[in-house]
Amino acid sequence: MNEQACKERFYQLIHPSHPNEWEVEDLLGRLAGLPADRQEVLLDQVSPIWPVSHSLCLAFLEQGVRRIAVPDLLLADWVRALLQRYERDGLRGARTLLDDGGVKFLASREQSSAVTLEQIAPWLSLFVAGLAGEAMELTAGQTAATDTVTLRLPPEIDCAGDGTANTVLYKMVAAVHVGFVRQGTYRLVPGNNDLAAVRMRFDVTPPSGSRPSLAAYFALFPEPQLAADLFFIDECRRAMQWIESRLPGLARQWRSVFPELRQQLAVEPTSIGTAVSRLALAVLHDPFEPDRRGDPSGAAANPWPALLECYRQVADHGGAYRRPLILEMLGHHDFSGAAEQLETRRALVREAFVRQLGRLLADHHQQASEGNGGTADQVEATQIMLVEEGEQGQTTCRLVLHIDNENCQLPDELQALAAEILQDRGRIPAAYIAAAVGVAGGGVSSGHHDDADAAGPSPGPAPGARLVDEWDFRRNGYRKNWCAVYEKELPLVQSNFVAATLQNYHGVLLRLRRQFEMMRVDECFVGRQREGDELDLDAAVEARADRRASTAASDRLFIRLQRNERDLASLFLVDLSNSTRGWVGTVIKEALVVLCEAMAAAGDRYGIYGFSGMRRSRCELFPIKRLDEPYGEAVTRRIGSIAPREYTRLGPAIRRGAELLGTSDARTRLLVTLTDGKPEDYDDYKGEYAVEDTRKALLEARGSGLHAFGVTIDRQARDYLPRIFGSDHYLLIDQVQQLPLRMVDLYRHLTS
Amino acid sequence: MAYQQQSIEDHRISSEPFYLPLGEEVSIALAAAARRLPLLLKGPTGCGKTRFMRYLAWRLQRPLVTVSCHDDLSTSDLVGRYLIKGDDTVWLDGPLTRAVRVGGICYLDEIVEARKDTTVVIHPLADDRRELPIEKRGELLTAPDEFLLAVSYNPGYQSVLKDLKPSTRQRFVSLSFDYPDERREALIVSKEAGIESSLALQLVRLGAMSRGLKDSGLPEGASTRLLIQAGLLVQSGIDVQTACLVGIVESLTDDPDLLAALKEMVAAVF
Ligand SMILES: Nc1ncnc2c1ncn2[C@@H]1O[C@H](COP(=O)(O)OP(=O)(O)OP(=O)(O)O)[C@@H](O)[C@H]1O
Ligand SMILES: [Mg+2]
Repeated sequence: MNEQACKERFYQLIHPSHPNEWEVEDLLGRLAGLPADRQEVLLDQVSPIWPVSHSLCLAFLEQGVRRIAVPDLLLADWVRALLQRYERDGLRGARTLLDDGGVKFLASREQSSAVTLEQIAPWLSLFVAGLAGEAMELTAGQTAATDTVTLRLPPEIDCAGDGTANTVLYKMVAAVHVGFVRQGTYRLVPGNNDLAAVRMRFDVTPPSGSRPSLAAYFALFPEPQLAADLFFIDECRRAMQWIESRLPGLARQWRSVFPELRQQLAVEPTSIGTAVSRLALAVLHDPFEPDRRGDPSGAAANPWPALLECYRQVADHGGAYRRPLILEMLGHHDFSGAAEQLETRRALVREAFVRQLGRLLADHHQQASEGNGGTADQVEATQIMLVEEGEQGQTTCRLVLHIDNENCQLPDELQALAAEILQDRGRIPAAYIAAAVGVAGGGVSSGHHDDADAAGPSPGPAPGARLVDEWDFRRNGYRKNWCAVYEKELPLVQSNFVAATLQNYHGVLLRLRRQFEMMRVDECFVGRQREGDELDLDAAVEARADRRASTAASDRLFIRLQRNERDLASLFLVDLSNSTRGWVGTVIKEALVVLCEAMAAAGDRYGIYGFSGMRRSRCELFPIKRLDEPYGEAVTRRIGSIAPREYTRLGPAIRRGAELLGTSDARTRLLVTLTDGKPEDYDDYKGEYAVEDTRKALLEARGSGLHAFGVTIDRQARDYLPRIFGSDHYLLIDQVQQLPLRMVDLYRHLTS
Repeated sequence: MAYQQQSIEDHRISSEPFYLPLGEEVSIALAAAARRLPLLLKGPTGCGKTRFMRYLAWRLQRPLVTVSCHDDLSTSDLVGRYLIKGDDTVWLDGPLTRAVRVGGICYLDEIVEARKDTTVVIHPLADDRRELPIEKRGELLTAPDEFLLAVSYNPGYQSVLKDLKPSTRQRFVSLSFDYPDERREALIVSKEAGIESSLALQLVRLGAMSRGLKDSGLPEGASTRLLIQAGLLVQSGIDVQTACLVGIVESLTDDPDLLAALKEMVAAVF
């Protein structure tokens, strides 16, 4: 690149900022003097650094023009270290790492035994999923914590002397937090008398009317953090006991690194800190050590009195309290996050329970009234009870619905919901049943303006619109020609995105191409053909025998090499809604490139359409690759130009996609929907309405002979994916980086 | 001689196979058999479908003829064919015909693997006609009351190119199988592998952990069969961790991340 080109590229990279020319002129001039590949390598780092600090970015380029000791492969790591240092110590700090061209960075890398989350996340996330029984999202956070859905872990652990030990620490910290979830830490709430005990002890008056919660409870102590930490340590005991009994192997690994850690972390600057640290270390050393509460089962029957007592003892040391290092390493409880997740979950379960029970009651009532010759007495008048059946304490306790002196089995889905509510609340709240009766009684919960769009009547469809119906579950019927779907062209942009992806995925693509080519050359010898290259001995013998037995003998006596035509067409629908902004978006683009490359090897027919839009009057479908279009420059340019747009009205996109795929004459047709979350539009296309419409759209697609699958990147998705796609018809991706591979793997799996 | 018809007596199950019932499957299957209705067993691999059929055959005291389906399976393979013997030809019944003649149980394992033109031969057998046409001999067999047809398939992630046709599917009474709960699975593993119940429990927990990866890229977690297999290796003196690696982990996946995670699980559980 000459100076002018360099300048243009630079301004493009940092758009929309626009520094004064004189600030960068000299620098870019010297950059232009470098060989082209050096220019690229350096400019590649502008995007990550510039948004964090303009000065650091310019300093980096300065240094880059002068001298860099770091090999290209490690450049991204170095830049990450620079940014981390910048965030901690500012520009001055970052410059100490920058000015030597990376010599110090390389040296520290050589001897460092630190383990980063990034290094181990690919398998650690799966390990955690195994421990937790379901996928949990891993993210980096200052200290470890979980809200029961996401697990935050420190970005790096460097407490122990070698990498293996640090890895053990990662596993241990993760296991402790999973242990909290599995042992029910986040379901513990102190009772009113426990609050009263603390109030009396410290003579405080709490803000009136506050419901008992852990936050309110800790707030009563003079030093809330200390109380919370003592509780944390006590819960660590239960988590450790769980680990000891469930994961003895991990416990053994832990014991091998623990002594070193204990030595390092035993002493704190204050005596109160040391006391707390000792308590924590004792628990970590042996969680079964004579339990203060003498409760060997590890159940948290009533931890509150002991906590108060322990607080008293520790607080006697006096002085200000600061969290000791050992606790910083172990993390903390995220009660508010967990409470939020619990509320979300409860609301979902409640909604589903009420809806399904409502339907069941309505059905039952209808049958009953038909039987009675149509005297439609109110559902309310019937007596409804949920009775527990089966032995107490057994895992197989079934709920039975008792209506009008009749017992009625609950369908499995409802049974599971009821079990979850029982587990959570100990009983089925009467309000739930009342709400279900309300639903059944004909009063479909109101609050919906029926046929009017939120913002008044929408204008008639513009030319080129394709009108599709939408399913309204509340009235159990379609809204005719409700949505207008338009096909819109994506701009063709020139970018090196595709080239970069091909390079990044070089190794993977080699493997994929081989695998997919193997699907293509699905050649096999088929016997019993009328004509062919060789005699089919089995068939010939059989025919001879048949003739001897004087029955009609077959004339299919040959073997032929048959190329198994994969008579298959697939359509991929890709969510381009605004929520994909950022990292998800890039990975989606990469996934499409990888997919196209693999498909090219298999030679299968396929199309890719993006979708987005706003309101029913403007649902948009963006052809990225039409079904018969070859994979070429135009396609890659469209992939390059994919950008997040508006909302996710899934139903119309699926209906139109199914229509397009329906025009193909392939024998097997596969519709794959890739989304990053729940269907949701700007208007009241959300929640249950959107889920039900999407489900309906997929049922229609299946009804017309298509196979439909979903791929989703959303940690909440477990709640609604089975409902939308049906079990075993979706793939949930919890580590977004895995999308490209998982998606093509799914395709391969589905079609071989 | 090689083509000698196998005696149907070889298919009788003389001693009670160990089968731990998990729900109402036994009574339902007995009722279906009494009503001459065919059975469709579905469930993940290695969860006890085949074992259940053996048990059922023993309960009913009927011979059990099992056919593992594959895409090369032809109608003759099921129904039978003529063979040349010296100057003569002899007719050899296929397994399906044999089961029909003697009033036994014919179990078609992994039915989806068979080509669709092969599976249609069971259609007239699987509805109330209960007949099997043997075209080559111009014979129409009517199944005796004791004949029972059972097929199995695994509904997990499946190729869209292979699927059970609705016309096939809608002829059966369906029994859904799944892995048992922790306690009962441990009982099965300990009994089948002859290992201590504490070790069996650890194996079962490892299995449960691997099944937790279903949404994370592992289409199927470790089956009861794999757990038993690892148990048997331990029983033969192989170290537990190694037994789990070769007996379970490596059999589940080739994906490096999944392998790493599963190995960590093994190291954590034992
Ligand atoms: N309920 C059970 N009672 C006793 N043994 C069981 C039970 N379930 C599973 N097993 C054990 O698990 C092993 C595997 O089961 P089986 O071979 O029946 O699986 P399958 O469902 O037929 O699998 P596939 O679909 O792969 O053929 C059996 O050999 C048996 O030892
Ligand atoms: Mg089997």
